[in-house]
Amino acid sequence: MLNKIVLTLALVAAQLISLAQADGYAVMKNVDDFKSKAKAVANKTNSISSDFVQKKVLSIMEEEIVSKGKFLFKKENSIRWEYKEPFVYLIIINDGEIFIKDENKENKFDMKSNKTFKGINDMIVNSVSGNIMDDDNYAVSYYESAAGYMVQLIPKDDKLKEYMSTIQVFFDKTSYDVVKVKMIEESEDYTSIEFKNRVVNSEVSDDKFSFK
Amino acid sequence: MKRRKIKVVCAVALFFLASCANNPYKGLTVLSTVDDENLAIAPLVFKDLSKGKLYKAKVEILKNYLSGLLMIKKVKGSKRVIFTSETGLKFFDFAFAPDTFIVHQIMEQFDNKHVVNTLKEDIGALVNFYTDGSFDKVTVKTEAGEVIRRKEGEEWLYYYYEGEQLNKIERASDKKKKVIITFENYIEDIPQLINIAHKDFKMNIELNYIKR
Repeated sequence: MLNKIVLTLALVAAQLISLAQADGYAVMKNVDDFKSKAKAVANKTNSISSDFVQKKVLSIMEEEIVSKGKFLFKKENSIRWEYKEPFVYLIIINDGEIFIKDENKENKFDMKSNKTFKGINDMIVNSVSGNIMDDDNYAVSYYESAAGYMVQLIPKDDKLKEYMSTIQVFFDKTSYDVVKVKMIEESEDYTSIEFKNRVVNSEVSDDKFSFK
Repeated sequence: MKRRKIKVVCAVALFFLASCANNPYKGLTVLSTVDDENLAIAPLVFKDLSKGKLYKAKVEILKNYLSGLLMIKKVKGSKRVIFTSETGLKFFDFAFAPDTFIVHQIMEQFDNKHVVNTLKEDIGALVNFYTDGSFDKVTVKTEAGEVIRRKEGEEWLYYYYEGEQLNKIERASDKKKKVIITFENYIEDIPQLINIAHKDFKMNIELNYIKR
């Protein structure tokens, strides 16, 4: 039994190290300093308006599937993902409810009914707002490279793990803004979302998060 | 008592007449039977799957609606079909090989024997291999153009052509259509619109090709 645990831990550790090193990242030296600075930035962030580029990488496909759109965040936890190409698709998450519009089809869900979706959403909200480090639902580790910082999260929930075995949140080295989120599946297929043309604390109307 | 008997006889007769009248394959004539190797028309939707095909998918099941992206690609000896949400969450990952069907991954919500079997049949009709057996060339009263069919278990698959272009597949029992799959607007041998409609319960899948 003990051997099994040790072996599992070793494998997890090996995976963590290989993942981190593959990207040129090494274990972060001053975690407390990073955390306090990232949190200070997150605390001052009331809204984010940004373009996003999503890449889905599937081992079987020779090309990645790229989609682009507009992302909006407003404190405390309102989010709007608007995919514009190559398809049109809108998700609004506000007050524990999810609204989805796919062309002319509209759908509304209560997030409380879906623990997994809530987990994914909390992760995204906490990532983009920089609060991910305090989430008890993940085993968190910290890395850095010449280009930036990376916080790696391993979900503790087995269900969530089925969809995302590892989440990597990349921060800009000087501004401490989240620049990229990478969600890796057990199969090593992954989805990455890169934020571009990011504007912080601009006026974002509540209408953007309302759905009738 | 007598009256009731007459009623029953009438009802049975009516049912019989009605089922005859509704049988879309009434008057079907088998012209010849050919080995699949000697078939002039290939019973394939996609002539070349070495490059992956990407479709925006809209699925309606009973009162539920779901959309996402469907990838189809030939990988080694099998055809892989992956369905993800727009945001990259993997709903399922299937492989169709000549003699086997493999579920590489499936989200809990879809993991039900009936759902998997329905998806296997519907998507299988789009990508399947036909290495076993022969086809009947038939004429169906209501349809022009060439029609071929093959037996799959207890059911028939009918393939309708306009010239060399496959424009419809029907799954049917001896008397009743069960699933109708239509292919429209071919560009470079790729149908831009595929629609899968079930007749015995409310389920519809619409696939719109995404050019990359």
